[in-house]
Amino acid sequence: MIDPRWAGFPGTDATVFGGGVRQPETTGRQIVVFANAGDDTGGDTGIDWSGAGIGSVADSRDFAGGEVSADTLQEAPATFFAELGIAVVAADPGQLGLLQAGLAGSRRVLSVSPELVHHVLRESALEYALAYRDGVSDLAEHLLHANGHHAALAARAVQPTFADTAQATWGMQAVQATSSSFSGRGISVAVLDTGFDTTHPDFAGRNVTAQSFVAGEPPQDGHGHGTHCIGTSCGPRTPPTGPRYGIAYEADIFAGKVLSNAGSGTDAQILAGINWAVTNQCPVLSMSLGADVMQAHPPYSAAGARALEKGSLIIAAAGNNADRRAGNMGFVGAPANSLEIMAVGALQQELGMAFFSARSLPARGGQVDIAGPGFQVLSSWPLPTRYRTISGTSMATPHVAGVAALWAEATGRRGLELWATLCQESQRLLEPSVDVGSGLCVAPQ
Amino acid sequence: MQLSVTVADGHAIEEVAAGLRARGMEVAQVLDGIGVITGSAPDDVRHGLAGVEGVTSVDEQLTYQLPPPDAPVQ
Repeated sequence: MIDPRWAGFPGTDATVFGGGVRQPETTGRQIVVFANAGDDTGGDTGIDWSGAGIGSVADSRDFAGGEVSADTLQEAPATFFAELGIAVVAADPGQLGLLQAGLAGSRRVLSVSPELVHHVLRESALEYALAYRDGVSDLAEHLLHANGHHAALAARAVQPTFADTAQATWGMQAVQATSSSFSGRGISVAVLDTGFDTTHPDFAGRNVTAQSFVAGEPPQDGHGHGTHCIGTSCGPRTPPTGPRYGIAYEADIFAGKVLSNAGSGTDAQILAGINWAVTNQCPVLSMSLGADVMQAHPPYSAAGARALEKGSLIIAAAGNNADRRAGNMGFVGAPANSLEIMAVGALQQELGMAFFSARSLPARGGQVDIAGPGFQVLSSWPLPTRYRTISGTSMATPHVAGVAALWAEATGRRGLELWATLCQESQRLLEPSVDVGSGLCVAPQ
Repeated sequence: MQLSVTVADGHAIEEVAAGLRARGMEVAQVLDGIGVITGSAPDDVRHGLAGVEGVTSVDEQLTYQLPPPDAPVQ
């Protein structure tokens, strides 16, 4: 029998979550989730209750304001919440089977699961104190035995350390791009950086729009940083040589040169690049750039807000101004410290923080929102070098941008909805939220 | 000095740009997609720009500098 506590979590058992997890209480009733009603069902629920021998069904639409009374909930053999497409049903397995089989054209049953009894989460002060004492002594034990190492070691045991393979870089594996069925097809990704090596053979045949906002310099990348970031966000699925290093391999590439070949730029260039990408309706903007200023810069708040309203999400590097080896945690710089711009922190192969990755500022908007692989990242580089491995929140940012393109393709979501999806779907980490926000971005599968 | 001027919602950006020019700003870009105007103005002119109708903020432009291409952390 499947233990509902761990169902769907292969390889997990009580040792992962701790021993004291009790079997859940169930009511004996079942929760049935139906597929969305087709347009052809009209006002009908489209559910063949009588065919399953379930006679009396309370329908939430028969109650004022959809408020099904407590008595009804307790007594009716079946209660159907029309707005949710969910029913609570007292039925035997035979009846449930008939419901699932359904009549031709009736609403499909997505899942049947036991109704659980939920309790207010409550701990007595004594229980809390005891748990606290146990926690502290457990931590002390860990620190002593781990020679001062990270307290998260226990969980690390179940968390792999990623490494580049012949097939894919560690970053592609960590964000689960390698197993995703999405490619970024139909999604325009703007990378605002030092331009792009449009002659790079790994991008032959790709749809690339390149534009320079740097006076006197063509879009061609004379630095390398831009080509590296475009490689991570939009590089090919199967490069001619070496491992896969790019996520949205069928996305349309908008390479906006806003930083010069010497790697420098101004607000005017960057804002012009944002304006260009938003006007071209790019759902995703990747900006691996920043200035080490704590104060949020008003033009970027305005640009970020207006971009979101128009369905464009700006994703920016949190900054590399930390040196965690020396105890300096740094801070999120501009433009990532604007509330309306998503800030990305950098992770290492074991999903711990890269030493340079900046920490959240206490001010509104100054938080790190999400994290991506940003340490020893292999990607494309202008010819003749072709590939290079470098580190930075600059490298973490295009990982998030590439993943965002896949989510945009998979869900059709844009702007704030896309932002929420990235955070909702990200893998939670043991690192502090001030460093990784909602955790590691992961691709839709 | 190089400036970025943020324009409030609901204002015609070209009219705001005209107002800025009238107060002595040299307007370089009118970015209607994001509601920002960039350009330059002498120090003594800058303070007057915030008084133009539709302007929410006048900020000196920041500059950005990447590390050199051969730096391990970028």
